[in-house]
Amino acid sequence: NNSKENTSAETKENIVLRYGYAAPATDPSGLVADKIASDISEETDGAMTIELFPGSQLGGEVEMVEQVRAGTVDVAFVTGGAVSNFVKEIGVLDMPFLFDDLDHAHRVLTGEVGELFKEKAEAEGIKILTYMDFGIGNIANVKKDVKSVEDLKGMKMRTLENDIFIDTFKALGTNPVPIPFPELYTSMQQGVVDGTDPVNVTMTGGKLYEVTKHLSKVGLNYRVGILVMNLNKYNELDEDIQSKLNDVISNSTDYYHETIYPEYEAGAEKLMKDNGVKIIEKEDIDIEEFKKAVEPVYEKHEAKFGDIISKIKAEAK
Amino acid sequence: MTILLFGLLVILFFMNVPIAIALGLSTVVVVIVSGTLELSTLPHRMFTTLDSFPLMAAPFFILAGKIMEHGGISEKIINFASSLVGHMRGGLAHVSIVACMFFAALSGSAVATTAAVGGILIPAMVKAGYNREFAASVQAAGGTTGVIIPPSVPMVMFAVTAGVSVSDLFIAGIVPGILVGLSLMVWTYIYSVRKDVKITSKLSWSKVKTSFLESILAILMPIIILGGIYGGIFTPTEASVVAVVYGLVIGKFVYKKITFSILKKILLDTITVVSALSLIIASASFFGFYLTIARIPHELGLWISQMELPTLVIMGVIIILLLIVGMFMDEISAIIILTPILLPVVVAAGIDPVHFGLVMIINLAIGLLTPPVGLSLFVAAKVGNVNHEKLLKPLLPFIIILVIDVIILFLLPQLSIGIVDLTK
Amino acid sequence: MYLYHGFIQRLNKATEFVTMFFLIMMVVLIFVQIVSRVIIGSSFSWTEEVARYLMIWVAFLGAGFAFQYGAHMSIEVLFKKLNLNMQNIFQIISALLCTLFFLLLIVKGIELIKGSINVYSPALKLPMVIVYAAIPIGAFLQILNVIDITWKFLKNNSRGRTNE
Ligand code: NA
Ligand code: NA
Repeated sequence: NNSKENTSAETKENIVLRYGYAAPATDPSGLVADKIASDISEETDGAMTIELFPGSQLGGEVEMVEQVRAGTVDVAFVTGGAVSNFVKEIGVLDMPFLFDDLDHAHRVLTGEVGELFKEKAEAEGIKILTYMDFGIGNIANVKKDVKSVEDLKGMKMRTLENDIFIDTFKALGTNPVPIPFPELYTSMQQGVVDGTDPVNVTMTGGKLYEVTKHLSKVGLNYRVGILVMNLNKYNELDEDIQSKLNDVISNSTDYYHETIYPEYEAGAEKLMKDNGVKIIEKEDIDIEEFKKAVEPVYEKHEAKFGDIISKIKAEAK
Repeated sequence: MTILLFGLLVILFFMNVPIAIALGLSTVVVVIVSGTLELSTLPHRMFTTLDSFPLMAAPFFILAGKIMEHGGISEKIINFASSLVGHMRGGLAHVSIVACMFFAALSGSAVATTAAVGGILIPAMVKAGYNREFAASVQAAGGTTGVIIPPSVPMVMFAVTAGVSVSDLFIAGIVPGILVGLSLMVWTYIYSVRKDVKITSKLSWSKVKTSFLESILAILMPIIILGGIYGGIFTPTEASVVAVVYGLVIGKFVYKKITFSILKKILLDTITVVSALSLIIASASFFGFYLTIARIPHELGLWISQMELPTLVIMGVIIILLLIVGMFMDEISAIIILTPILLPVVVAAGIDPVHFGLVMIINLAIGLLTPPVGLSLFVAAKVGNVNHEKLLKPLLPFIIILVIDVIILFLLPQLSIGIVDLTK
Repeated sequence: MYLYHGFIQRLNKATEFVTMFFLIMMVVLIFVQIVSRVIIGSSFSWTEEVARYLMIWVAFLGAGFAFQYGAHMSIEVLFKKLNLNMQNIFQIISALLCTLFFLLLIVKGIELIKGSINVYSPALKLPMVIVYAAIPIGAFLQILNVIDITWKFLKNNSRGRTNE
């Protein structure tokens, strides 16, 4: 009966989606992509298949979003920063200490604010399929245990070319240095920079744990992963296929948050410890002092996000 | 489609269409015929490929090389080097490979290595009586050590894609990098003996002393770059700018050779070279993007992974595959696409992933020397001021040596992974 | 045609000066980035970005006058073996193909610009329109130069023939 299924699938028009992401296939982004690809093929009896392009084969994250807009790539899993180049409002997620915890972030992204982002993205030809936790930004460095803002003073910290991240590091009394990711590993090894603000995926995937000596779980900011799709391509799908796609994505998001992400985070922490990274737990860090120190970042950037920040804060418990 | 693409490419090449445009145009035709891509990808891909900070090292090193050449710095370094090795057969050719190896220990890129060292040493070798084509070939081949001796950008990419340790791969590269350099020197020696390259002078310590004192400011330049990178003051890309500024200051105020009109010529020469190279890099990236989207390297890799053959045969097929892919694709893209497909095959065959990574990186680096997309070949031709087609013949012995190196390094894992084990 | 040639020469001179200025600015920006980091311990977030965009402008603008210096690499082995008539024909076809490619770059480059009106660079928030403009403008300069060198090539070849 297997062959019968195949022939019936072939008579339908076969939709092939190109799906790109930046991380290696073994990272959480890859695991969830594999699941989405195999589930959708199964649910639609092969009417829709997904070709996966891991490891930035299709270009960097911003480039992938651009390609999704243009229709060259159908689906991409990227971090919020890449989408915020096209949908400014999403940049709000880069604000330091915006969420109390992951639950807070989920409430916001599945609620009114998440819907607002979706609307704004559609105006740019981008369909946001789902949000997934990408990680929590911490402070990694090669010099010392960072437990207070004072400990950070004067350090050269690498961050992305993103004014909120740069202003956050300035507010913490460090000297932010924009160094491109491919040069980061050797820059930390050779001391061109003292540290950076990685999520665990960059710590493990980018091999930064090999050169990092101290990791303080400050929880500086929340990084979201966004699954985007070309809006026209999405709208052109048959209703039946579209709803199956939505179901697969929704189930995969749950599976990601319940299984893939927590398992990965636990494994990452063990890997770092085994490789001699000293991890400083949140309880040993004066987080309130950090929150106070970054207040100027809110004063400077709050206005451009209208009432979004207050809406987000209202969702806190 | 694949046949159409490569057929068009060959026809356009033979019609003397510039390489950059031949690559771009044949891809455009195939994209239109097959409908695989939106054509808007073309300008965008060209843009994002050039929008890269590490890529800027090549233009800056080309500029620095020209400044050193016209500013009298190269001459001083050459005088000093000749006073040391001028009495040896092939002395300067050996020096240029050793210089590549030193530079390789600073830079993670083969092209930057060729640009930085070739800018000084190709003119030097020509002056010392070497044939220009040979001098440029030595630099192109010597530059491959840039990705073998750590640090190495392709090694970081392999480690990230394969999930192995960057530092393990770096350590595994040290001995093979030195061996590759030495093996290239074997051919430069044979060549020098056969062509009877003239021996400049006898070794005289007083001459060494005077030329050292005269060239001290010039010799400081590599030391500043070396110290700056290892002292954590700047990145390799930034070092290229330091080289430009230092060369300009010394050339203008100390050796007093750089005038306004010479500076104009230096800038203009650099710009034409950089533009020509950039156009090739940009359209080669569009060409490579099509190959990726059409899953051509992917399918080739899968085909190999499904063959049930003895380890040695599989490895032989992989080496040939990587040579062919390296002809058409840049090293980083090839690593990202092929590593996930090939790695399970070789691991199942009992090969250590770090060992395989090292072999793969050298194997793909050979592609930097081969047309139609061979960036080290083009850069060496440009800084050596010689037609790139004329380099193919003198490069062939070096390419053969590199292939032999790849085979030896595959057969003797002790030289790579063995060293890693020693450090643990 | 002589008028055209004179115009191209003047246009190229101007372009050469612009690209030289851009290249110097690239060096200055990155040098300032290093010096400010080493001396005052802090650097601007936008120096690297501007230097990169300048490089893209240098590459696309320079690609035009690079034709005049024969800087664009091609495979000449077979071409050089052809007789002058065949060379002329191939040169014209090659020029047409180049022009076709550059026209496509102009059209698609303008589309890219139109689609990026609201897109800004990450660090300095420069409108990306300014950066992307290098592509169609550069392609246009390349067409002008391809026409010019093809004309010069045909003229030289016919002169070569009368001399024979
Ligand atoms: Na290196
Ligand atoms: Na090649």
